[in-house]
Amino acid sequence: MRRGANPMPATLKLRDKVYEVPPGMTVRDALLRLGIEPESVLPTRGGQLITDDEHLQDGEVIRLVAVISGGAQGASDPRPGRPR
Amino acid sequence: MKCRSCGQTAAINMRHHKLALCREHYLGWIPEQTERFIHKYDMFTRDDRVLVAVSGGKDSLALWDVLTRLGYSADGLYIGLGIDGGIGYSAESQRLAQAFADANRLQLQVVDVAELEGASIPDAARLTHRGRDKPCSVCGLTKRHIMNRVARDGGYDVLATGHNLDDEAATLFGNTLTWSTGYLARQGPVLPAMAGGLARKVKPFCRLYERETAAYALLRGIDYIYDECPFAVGATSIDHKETLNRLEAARPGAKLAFYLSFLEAKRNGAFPQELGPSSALLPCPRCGQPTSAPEACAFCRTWDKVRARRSALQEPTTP
Repeated sequence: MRRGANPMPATLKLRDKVYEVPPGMTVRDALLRLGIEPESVLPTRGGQLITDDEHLQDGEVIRLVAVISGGAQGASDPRPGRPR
Repeated sequence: MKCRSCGQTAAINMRHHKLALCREHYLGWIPEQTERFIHKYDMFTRDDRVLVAVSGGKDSLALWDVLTRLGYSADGLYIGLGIDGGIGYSAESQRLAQAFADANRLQLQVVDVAELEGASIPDAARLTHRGRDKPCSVCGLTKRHIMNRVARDGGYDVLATGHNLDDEAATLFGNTLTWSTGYLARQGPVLPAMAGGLARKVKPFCRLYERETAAYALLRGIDYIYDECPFAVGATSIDHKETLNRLEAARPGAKLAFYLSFLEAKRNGAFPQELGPSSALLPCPRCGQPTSAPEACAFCRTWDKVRARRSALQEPTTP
């Protein structure tokens, strides 16, 4: 993040939902703030799995892979190379 | 966070184990753990022929992958249920199961319910009014019957399913809420074979979190069906999983402790065998599979009803 510039929110995508949060916080803190159980998702950055202690970068997109079976009719698939 | 084994950037952190691992070490850790559970619960050996029930989902494909990597002789069984749900669910899951088998040169047996019995699972549920608006009851009954029949007819020693810890803990939670002692008595990593032809059933992933099996599938590049069965939307078992995940977030290891404490209580006699499956099962006169029913088993009775209803609907009406 550039000092003095307005920070761009980080985006978290889970199925067909999109959330924006301030950069700088950890993925885990963002999930808890959004009411998403950290146990129920796997965060990915650029198609790679990351741990939830990673800090969200300015303007980046984190895709969340749902791990609980069920409740996903027609949802977009966040895995790399899959239709979105 | 760093990998405990090599210090590289970790791909996954398992708070309940206080263990973070990179991709490479995680892909070694999962088979090691699975092997440990196979031995601990005396599931099968490398001399046994294993039939893996494959749905095209992450758990069953990951299990098939792990067993193959460990050197077990494992064939797959895919059951075509005829579920569309607006997303071509069955067609896509079969395509993914077959693609996995082909890519790994594995043997996949496909049984299509509509070809075999004359109706898809959703049609059978509608015709019998079983399970109200959801076909899950007919589906479970039919899958159990077909899995058992293929295991028996194919001479397999054991039937393996991809049930993970979250599945097991959610089932346990549901059965505990209702004190269903009969179900509690028969739940476990192994369901022994029974006289009369019920195959031995095992769950090698029963101590792996759903998050861990999903991470394994992703890191191995296994292409699995991301959408779950359309009829699973709103299922009670998913509510139970979410409830248990809230516990897990507050107390890492809560789900595993719940399941392992149950298994220990069971070993200590909390759920005596007589509460479990009856030893007085008799062969169904129609299909030969064991049943507690005095005549035909539930599978035969259900599908007889489906065929009768279909015939009645297809008969020309009298002018």
